[in-house]
Amino acid sequence: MTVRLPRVVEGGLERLRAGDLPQFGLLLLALLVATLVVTWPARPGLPNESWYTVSQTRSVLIALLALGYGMGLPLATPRRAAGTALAVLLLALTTLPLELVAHAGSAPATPAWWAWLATPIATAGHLSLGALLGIVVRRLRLTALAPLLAPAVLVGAVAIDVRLGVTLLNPLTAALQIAPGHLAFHGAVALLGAAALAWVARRGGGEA
Amino acid sequence: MSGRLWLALLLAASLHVGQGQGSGRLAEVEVGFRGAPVADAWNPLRVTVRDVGSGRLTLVADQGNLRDGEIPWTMVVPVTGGAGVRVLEVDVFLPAWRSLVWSLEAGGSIVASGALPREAADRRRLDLVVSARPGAVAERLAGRVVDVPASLLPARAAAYDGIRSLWLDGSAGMPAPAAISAAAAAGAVVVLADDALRDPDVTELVGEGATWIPIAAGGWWVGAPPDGAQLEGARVDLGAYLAAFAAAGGVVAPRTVSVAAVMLTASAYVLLVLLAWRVGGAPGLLTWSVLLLGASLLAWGAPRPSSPTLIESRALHVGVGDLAWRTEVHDLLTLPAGEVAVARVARPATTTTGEQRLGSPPATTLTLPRWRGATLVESPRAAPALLALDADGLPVAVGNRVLRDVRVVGGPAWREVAPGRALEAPSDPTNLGGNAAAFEALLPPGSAWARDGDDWHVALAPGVRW
Repeated sequence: MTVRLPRVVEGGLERLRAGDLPQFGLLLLALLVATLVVTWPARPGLPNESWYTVSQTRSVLIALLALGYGMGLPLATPRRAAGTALAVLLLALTTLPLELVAHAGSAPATPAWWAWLATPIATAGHLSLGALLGIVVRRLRLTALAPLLAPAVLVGAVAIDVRLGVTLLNPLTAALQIAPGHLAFHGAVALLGAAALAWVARRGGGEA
Repeated sequence: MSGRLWLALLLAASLHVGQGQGSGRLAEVEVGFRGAPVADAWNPLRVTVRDVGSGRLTLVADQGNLRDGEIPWTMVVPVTGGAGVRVLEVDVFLPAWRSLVWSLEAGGSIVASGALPREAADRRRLDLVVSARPGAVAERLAGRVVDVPASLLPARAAAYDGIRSLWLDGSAGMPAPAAISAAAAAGAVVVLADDALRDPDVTELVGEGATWIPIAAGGWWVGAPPDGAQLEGARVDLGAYLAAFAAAGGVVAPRTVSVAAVMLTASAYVLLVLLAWRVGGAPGLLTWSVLLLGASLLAWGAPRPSSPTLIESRALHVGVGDLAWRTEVHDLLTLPAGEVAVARVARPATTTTGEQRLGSPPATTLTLPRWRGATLVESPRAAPALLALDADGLPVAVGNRVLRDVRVVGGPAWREVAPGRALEAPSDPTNLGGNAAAFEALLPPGSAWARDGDDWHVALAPGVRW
C-alpha cells in the first residue's frame, strides 16, 4: 500500500532529498554536533555549560538559514515556496534533540519545552521576514545585496534588542529564556509574510 | 493659620507617631540577651506585641560590602497576636551585618520597625550573669558581661550559641534546670557559686565531682571562680569542629555522559536523519519522525541528573556522658540557577543571600547561581549522646545504634561498637587522611569518635581542658 502525502509535504521532503538544502542541513547539523562535543565537559564533576553555547548557536544558524531561504520564496512558485518553507521547518525541528541533550546535561533554569515551542514559530517568523525582505529587494532591484541582508538583519535585530533592553528580535537571548514577546513578534511576522507571499502569488510574481 | 504652618504641624505629628511605634508601644523586639546580640551566632529573639493582630516580623541583615554590594539575609518570623500582651521567643541566626533592620507587619500594614547599628555586630561571646552582684563578675572577666534575670533564660540550646559562660550564684534566683542544661549542652561554661550549689535542682544536675564537670559540649564549674583564660580553656571550639565536619562532606556533581558517547550518538543521529531524508516520501517522513522522537527521549533521559537539586544531610554529635550537642549540616548543589530550599531552620556556612523562615513549615532558602554548592547548618540543640567513654576511657555505644569506624584519639580503633555488646579486639588505626584527619586533630587526646552512616559522634575526654 502506498501512502500519498499532501503535495506540500511531498514538496518539502523533495527539497530535503536533493539540491542545496540537504547540504546546508548537513553543515548545520555537523556544526551543532561539533559545538556540543567541544562544550561538553571533559571530566565528571565539571559544570556542564554546553546548553548555553549549543542553544545560541542553533538559534542563530537556523535564523540565518530561514532568512536566507525566505528571501528566495517570492521568486519561487507557490508550491515550491511552501515545500522550501516546510523543509526549513523540518530541518529546524531536526536540530532539537541536539539541544535537548545539552539541556539535559546542563540543567538550566529555562524549561526544555521552550525550544520546542519557540523553534517552529521563530523559524516561520524568520522565513516570513526573509520573504518580506525578498519582495522589497526585488522591487528595489537590489538583488545583488541579498546575500548580505540575512546576516545584516540578524545584527540589526540584536542591536535593536540591546538598545531597547528587551528580548523581542534577538535570537541569542531568546534562545536562553522564555520570551513571549519573541514568539508574538515572530508569529505576527509569519502571518504577515504568508499574506505577502499569497499576494505576490496572486499577482503572478512567482517563477516556475 | 497659614497652610505652611499646618503642614509643619502635620509633619511633626506624623514623626511623633512614628517614634512612638518604633520605641515599642505596639511591639518590642529584643535581639540577643538584653539586646546584646552576638554576630555570626544563633541569638534569642523576643517579640512582645500589645493589642496587635497576627502578622510577621521580618529582619533583614545586609552582609554586603562595597565590592559585592548588598547580600541580604532575611529572617521571617510569624507572630501570633491578639488582644492583650503576647510574647514570642525564638532563635534566629544573625550574620555579621552591615545593617540590620526589622519590621513587624500585621493586618497589611507595618505596625513597628527598627534597626540595629553596625557597631552592635560584635562577634565576641557573652558572659551571662544571674546575680545580685553582677559587677564582681564584670570586674573579673574582660569580656562582654550581660546581667540577665533568671526568668529570661530560655531552655533552648540554640539560644546559648553565642554564650561563653553562664554565672549563677543563687543571689538573684535560679533559672529552670532545663535552661541550665541547655546552656551547658550548647557549650557554655556554667559557673556555679555560693548559694547556687545549695539549690536542690542544681545538686541533682551536677552531682558530686571535681572543680570542672564536663557535660555535653560545656560543663559545670563548681570550684573557685575562673578567669577569662580558664573559661576559654574550658570551652570546646565547636565552630572549628563544625567547620572540619562540614568540609568533610559536600555533594559531588552528578557524573555525566562521556564526550565520546555524546559524539558517537549525535553523529549517528545526524547520519540516520540524512538517510531518512534520502528515502523521501512517507517512509522517509515516518523514519524521520521516529528518529526525532527516539533521539529526543534518549537525549532527555541519558545525561539528565536524577534531580536538578541535590541535598545531603549529616549530623554531628559532640558530648560528654549521656548528653550531646547536636547539629545537622545540609550540603546542597543546584544545577540550575535559582532558589534552593531546605525545610529546616538553618544558616549558611558562608556569606550568601537567603531567607530563613520560621514557623510551620519552616524553611531556609538560598539564592544560588547555577552549578553551585552551599552548606546549611541547623541551629544546635541538646540530644541524647550515642557514644560515650567508660571509666577506662574505652568507647561505649549508649544509644540504640551500631557505630562504625570507632577511634580513640591517640589510641586504638574498632571496626564497630554495638550497644550492649562487649568491645571486640582493637585494631591499629588506619591512616584517615584528608578532612577526617583534620577533624580528628582537633579533638582532645583520649576522646573517641565514630560514624553512623554519614553522621559523626564525638565523646570528648572528660579531663581538664585548660
